[in-house]
Amino acid sequence: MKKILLIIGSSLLVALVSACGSNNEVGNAGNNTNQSSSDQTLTVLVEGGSPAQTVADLTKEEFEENTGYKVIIESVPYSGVYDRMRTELTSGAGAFDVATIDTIWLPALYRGLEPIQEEITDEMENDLFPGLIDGASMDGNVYGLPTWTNSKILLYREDLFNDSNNQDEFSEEFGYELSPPETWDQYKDVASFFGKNEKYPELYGTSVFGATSGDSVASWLDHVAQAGAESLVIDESGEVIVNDDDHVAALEFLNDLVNEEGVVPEGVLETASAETSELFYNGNLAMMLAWGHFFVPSNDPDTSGVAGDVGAAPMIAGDGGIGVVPGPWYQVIPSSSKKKDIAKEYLLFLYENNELYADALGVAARQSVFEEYGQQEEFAHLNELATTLNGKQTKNRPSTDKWEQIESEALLPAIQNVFSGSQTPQEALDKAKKIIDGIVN
Amino acid sequence: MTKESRVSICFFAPAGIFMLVFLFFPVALLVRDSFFEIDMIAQGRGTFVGLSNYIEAIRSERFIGATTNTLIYVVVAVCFELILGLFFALLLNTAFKGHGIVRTIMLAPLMIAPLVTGLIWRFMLNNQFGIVNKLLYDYNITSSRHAIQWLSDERFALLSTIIADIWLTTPFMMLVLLAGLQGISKTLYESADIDGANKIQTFLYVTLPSLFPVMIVAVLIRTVDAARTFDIVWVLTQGGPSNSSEVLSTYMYKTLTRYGLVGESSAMAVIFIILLLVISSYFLIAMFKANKK
Amino acid sequence: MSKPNAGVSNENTLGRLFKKNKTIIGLITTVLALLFISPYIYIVLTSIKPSSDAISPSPTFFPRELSLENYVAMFNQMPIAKYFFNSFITASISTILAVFLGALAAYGLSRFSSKTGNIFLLLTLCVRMVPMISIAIPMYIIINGMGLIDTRVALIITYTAINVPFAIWLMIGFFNNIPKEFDEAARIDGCNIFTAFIKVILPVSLPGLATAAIFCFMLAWNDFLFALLLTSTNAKTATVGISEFLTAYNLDLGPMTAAAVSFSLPVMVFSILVQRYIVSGMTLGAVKE
Repeated sequence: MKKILLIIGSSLLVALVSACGSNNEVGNAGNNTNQSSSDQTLTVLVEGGSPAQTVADLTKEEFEENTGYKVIIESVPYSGVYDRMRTELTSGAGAFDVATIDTIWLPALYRGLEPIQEEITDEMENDLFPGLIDGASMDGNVYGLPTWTNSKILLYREDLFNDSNNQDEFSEEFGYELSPPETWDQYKDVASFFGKNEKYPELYGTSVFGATSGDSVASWLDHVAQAGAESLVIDESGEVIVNDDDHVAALEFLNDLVNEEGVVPEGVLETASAETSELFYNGNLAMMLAWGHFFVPSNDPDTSGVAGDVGAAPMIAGDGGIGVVPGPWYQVIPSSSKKKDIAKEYLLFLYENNELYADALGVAARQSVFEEYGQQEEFAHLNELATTLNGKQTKNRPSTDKWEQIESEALLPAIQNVFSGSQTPQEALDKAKKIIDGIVN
Repeated sequence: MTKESRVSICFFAPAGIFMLVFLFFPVALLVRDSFFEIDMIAQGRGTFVGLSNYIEAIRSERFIGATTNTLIYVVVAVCFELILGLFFALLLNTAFKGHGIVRTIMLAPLMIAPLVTGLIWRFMLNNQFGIVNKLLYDYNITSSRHAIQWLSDERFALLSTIIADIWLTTPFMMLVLLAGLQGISKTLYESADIDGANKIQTFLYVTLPSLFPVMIVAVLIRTVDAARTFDIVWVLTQGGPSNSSEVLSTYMYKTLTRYGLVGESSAMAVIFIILLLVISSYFLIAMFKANKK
Repeated sequence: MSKPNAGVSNENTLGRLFKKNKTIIGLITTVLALLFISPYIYIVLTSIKPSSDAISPSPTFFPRELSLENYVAMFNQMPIAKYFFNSFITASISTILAVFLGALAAYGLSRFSSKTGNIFLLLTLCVRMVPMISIAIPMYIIINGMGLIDTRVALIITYTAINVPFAIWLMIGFFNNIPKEFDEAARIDGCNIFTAFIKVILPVSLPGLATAAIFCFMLAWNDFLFALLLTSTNAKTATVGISEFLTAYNLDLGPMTAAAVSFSLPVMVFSILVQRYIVSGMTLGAVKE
């Protein structure tokens, strides 16, 4: 009997050891060297393929030279960042010391994060774009240091806009000069001019985002801000205002573009940033309202067929003026980290290297970086981005830990129902209000 | 306890312990969570809320919608797979020259990961860059390059996910039914021949009844797998537009990982498991009966 | 590969009715089969297009020119070779473990009572009914508690756990068909019960082991959900890697198709070689070819 147990036990052991063994062999290159001195490491969580990963890679050697701490970079897909952070905060395992996260996740995560306001000097706060520190402030504490901020701006085809035939035809038809649009009405005029132009059968005026992703909601909220809204979706007192005039007007504005034939690409409900930029690079769009970081690749001949012909302008203005909902990313420290001091040092170290994000993505968080890089032609969009971010109507999303649920249960279906023609903007948003009321109460 | 039974237990123990820790324990946690309201960030065990997670789930329009979609998905996909699979199996069973090669060709989709299948179809059905709409237009089937918005029209989104599923698993049906066809004793056909049965009668009274037990197994397995489909739907549509292609697995995923509602999502999972058990027990009983014969 | 005798037997019956038309049926079936798998052919062809043609508003089925650009890009953009290696290691080791543990348990059960088989059929079916997503979080907590996040061991444990009931059930069917006299004879020859199992029983049940192994391997190789949740950098598998070609930053459809082809082609070739084991595994052993 004992003998049998022994045999079974040892054979199991052999199997497990061989499993672990082969695991370590491969792990060697990655992290085995670190494990021997596990106290001297700092684990950072970033989105794979994002500028946060690029910058973390670029700076890890310098940080190790400065502090003796080796930086271990864990990269996961976009939604993985949130999943991993949440499970980390649930379990309190201390698996990461620093993470770079999207602003929309902060309200859901902040209770598991370390407050860092003591690290932020007045000088830093003044150099960062307005609203960035506010966006990371909950219950009187600051929980994240911005790495970059970003918003949609207008990218357009200079060759089409500068063509003298186009200019003549445009002023004849609309009674004013053809130039990058600054208002909703001009934007509609230009989009319809190029979209319905017989000279360019393959060309659309612009695109509208309606895909099943947060991008579509963000894009509509930009226009809500432009319409003059004081707050987005939920107001200061907690009242759901998603069906007020400004929210409806913005959705009507987008819906008008969708309904005018040929102005925006068909398949609005599967169009978002990636599809739009692909069409723009292919020469199928005269303009696009795209995240600032699309400017650099659209002028890069390796990725874009219209490189060299792309100009940038600030975001268009509605009745309330220029406005966007910025999409900043923050570096945060989980409370479960066992190396908070060195993690804070890492945050400040990357703050000093903020220009590297401009190199990697063409955006940054510090106004001084914007000014310095904005001088260069290939970063011409930074001035326009700065104008947009400083716009009168630029504001943050409401700070609620239910944002993800509100976004995908109420707002996204409302937008998609309008674009597909099954509801009017007012009807769709009335229904969205009911759903949101159910979620927040 | 006899010596023999002790030995048996020893052989069973390693696998048993493994399943206990890594399979039954997580499922037990799942059932437990369904009775609690759990705050993911505040580290605690949550508060006991009785059946309220279940009541909330059953009353929610979204859960009903997702359940309906799952049912449509399963019924349509499995029916088409069965018909197509039977069709191909009958063709291959005629044993024409080179049928082995054709059978091998048909196996291709079977080994592709559901995730990859989703990506392939997303690529082909894309409105701007997809080849499906282009071909439909080139052959004058549709009047415009963008006539059918496969992934973004509420009427077609669920259908598109079903098409991908049918493509992925028809070969499974074909292979199983082919094995079943080849297992039918030839004496049955001979006696039908003697009785003067024509082709259709032979098919209806000999082939189909003999194939029945195999069909039940195949349909059962496909039903359970189709009901749990996640990768294909997630990659193709994420349940959109306007939740028109939301199935239970994607809705549970959203509730759990996006909204952090552990309790509600666990309750939905338990309801889901019970529903599947009820449906498949019907098949199981039929299967055991068929086996006894 | 195919069974010639099956074809012959039907020639007397159904086949005879079509005899003249057989060539025509063969042709039609071949065309239909090619049509059926054309999506896969399209992906293979797309992967060898230049990247500018791979994603284009006017796509063509056949490449206008050939290029390995997408394959080069695939390797440049991410350490895809490492992800493939991770997939392979986790799938193989979990398969070995699941089949070994499953065979041990099945042997014990089949020698103890012949009625346990049905319990494991039910168990296997129940496990198949649990939506994977809902045990993912408890699983994460367990794995995290063991300090195994982002290790291949985490995935190996998970896949083994999911596969063991299936392996047990499949193997019980095989062992029940091996007469008890068989192992008793081995014991008389001086083997103890364990060596009898290893030396006598396992070799006889090789077809069953192969079937179980193929299916355990496929499940692990194709898994996306657990790999997404339990790994980040070191143990990331190919499915997660492939999904990362489509991000908010760009749609790298060209390299994505290259990766999809590299990921599926080897397994496809392998599965074709072992196709005779596949049917009984797919039906949880209920249909034997």
